[in-house]
Amino acid sequence: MVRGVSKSYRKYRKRHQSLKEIIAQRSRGDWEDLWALRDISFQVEHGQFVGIIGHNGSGKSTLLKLLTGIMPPSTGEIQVQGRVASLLELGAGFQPEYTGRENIYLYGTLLGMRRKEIDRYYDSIVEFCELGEFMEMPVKNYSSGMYVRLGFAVAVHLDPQVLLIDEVLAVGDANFQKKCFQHLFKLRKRGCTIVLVTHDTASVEKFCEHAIWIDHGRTMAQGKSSQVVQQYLDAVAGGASIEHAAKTEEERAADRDLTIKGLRFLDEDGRQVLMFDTGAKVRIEIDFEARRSLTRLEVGLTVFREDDFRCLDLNLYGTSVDKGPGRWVVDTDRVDLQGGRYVVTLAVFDRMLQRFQAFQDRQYPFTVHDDYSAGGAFYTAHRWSLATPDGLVPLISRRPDLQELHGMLEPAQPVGEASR
Amino acid sequence: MLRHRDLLWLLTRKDLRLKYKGTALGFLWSLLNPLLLMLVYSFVFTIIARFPVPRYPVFLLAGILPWNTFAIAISSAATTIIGNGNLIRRVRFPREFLPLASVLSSAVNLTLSLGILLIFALYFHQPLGLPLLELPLLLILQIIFTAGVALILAAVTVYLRDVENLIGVFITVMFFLTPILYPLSALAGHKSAYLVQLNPMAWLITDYQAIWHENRWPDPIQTAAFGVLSVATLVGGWLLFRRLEQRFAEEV
Repeated sequence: MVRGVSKSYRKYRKRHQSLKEIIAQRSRGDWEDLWALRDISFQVEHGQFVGIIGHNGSGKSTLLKLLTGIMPPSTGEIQVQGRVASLLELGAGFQPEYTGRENIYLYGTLLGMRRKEIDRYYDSIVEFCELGEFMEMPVKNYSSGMYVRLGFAVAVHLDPQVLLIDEVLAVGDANFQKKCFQHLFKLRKRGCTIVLVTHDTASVEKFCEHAIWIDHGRTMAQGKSSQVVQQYLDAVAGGASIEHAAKTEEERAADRDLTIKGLRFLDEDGRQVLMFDTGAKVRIEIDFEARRSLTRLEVGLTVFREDDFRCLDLNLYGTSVDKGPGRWVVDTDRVDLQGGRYVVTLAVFDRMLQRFQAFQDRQYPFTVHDDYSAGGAFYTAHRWSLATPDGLVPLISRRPDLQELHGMLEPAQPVGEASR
Repeated sequence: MLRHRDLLWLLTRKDLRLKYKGTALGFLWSLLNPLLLMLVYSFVFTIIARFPVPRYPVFLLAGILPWNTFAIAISSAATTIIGNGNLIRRVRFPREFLPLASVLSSAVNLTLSLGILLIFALYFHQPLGLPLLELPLLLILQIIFTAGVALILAAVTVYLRDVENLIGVFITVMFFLTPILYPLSALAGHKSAYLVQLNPMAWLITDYQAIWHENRWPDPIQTAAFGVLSVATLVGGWLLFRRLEQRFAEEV
């Protein structure tokens, strides 16, 4: 239960850290309060699966830290009943030099397990994360996916009454994610309350009955997840949740002649989406309003992967717009990005005036889902075959499980044998 | 806290392991330093300055081993909170275990290095006897006192990074204000004797010297005083830590 909770951080204008300054000025510096959360209230019933959604920097993670007890709220009160486990960031608490086995013990005890409990669950933990062969290897050699597996496996064995999860599941591959969600359902059946923080609205809709949408530290909506998600998507499309960013943008360039009203992604059926599969046919719509007619505009749509790798530039040169509202529509045949999280930067450059009419840096996130997830940036439609004296025999690629982690590529089987 | 008690032991072990990991001599390093100091000081004070202390190396080791343990424990504990920001910001666990693990791991070191002291004592035909039975009590009191100081320093360092540097200076000054190189009796009649007698570490160190070098029971009043002070330090330090801990996650 959370009632009227606010949280402020001190943002130091000037921070005294030397003794001399503190003694000389008799203060600990000069700060202003930044409110990360303002007057948030909600109640989560025993055994509920709740999603918390919101934009980056909306205060979701702060809320989770308060729920975990890592920080106290500045005002208001939080009551959490039962044993709490939180996965704020996987691998926090792992010792890179330690082996997988040692880290299971270290992380388990950090989360509050007794050593005996870990002894009891050890085999089951290893089985869950499917990393049996890597248990004696230092985790510094693990991939991030392996980190997630190990961390998640330990956390779910804590048998918590309340489980708080922040985003982390997005790191694992699709198979493991599925397994995690299956396990979360099992936990919930046992009466465990689960709070999932994410901006993957698809999984919130799919898994959570309830959702809370937070923006700029305030509750925007809460209730049935499908409704809340819809409100959120509408707002993202309408630019409401970037209201703040857009506002400062406006202040910065009051003299701009073009305002971007919103950008949204649509699937083939014209439904608005934030997540789609590799190879999907996606339409991007950009609403704008021009204060006067403009010519020689250059519109740049750049897609960045989560790690800031610049994947795509979709540019339109030498275009003009009339005064009033308008819409650009970008139709793609296939978006062949590999699974992962991406964000779009939208820029409109005025070649006449030699300045930007709009520049929205990394404002529009979306997620691509695939079943390959072998890494890399792009997917392309392709076929494998084996050359034999009789010609080419098509091969079907079977997704390996552990072998893949092992770095061994098991030879793919010819069609006939592969269809088990 | 009770739920997490296995964590304290794991963190202590981690501390011990990381300290000597990758070094060829391992644990020996923690002995080498006091042994070298002992050689140098023995040379200076028995050959050049000619202190009238019989079996000077034994006397010196009896004081310098616990002193080093104390110094290393508090200076490493002081940075445990700021050094583990990642953990503090992301996992909820009893944070006092971080400095306490430093204290415990150095206590383990001390216990092992007392073996060296025993070897030297036998070599120099140092008479030893029943007073050795009080050794565990002294060790426990030292751990309690060190833990209190460590909790205070670890918490305060988060808000005041200067403390980290101050500790180094403080330790050097205190080293000379504690009768380690010289016997307390050498100060007899001098004004500085009062200053040294106000130093709780001097009480502890002279107790160790009584056992190891003079083969007599330590002064019970002095030991009791140190015990009371230790418990008070631990309780006060813990309360202070709990208070300051509230904003650790934001400040580290």
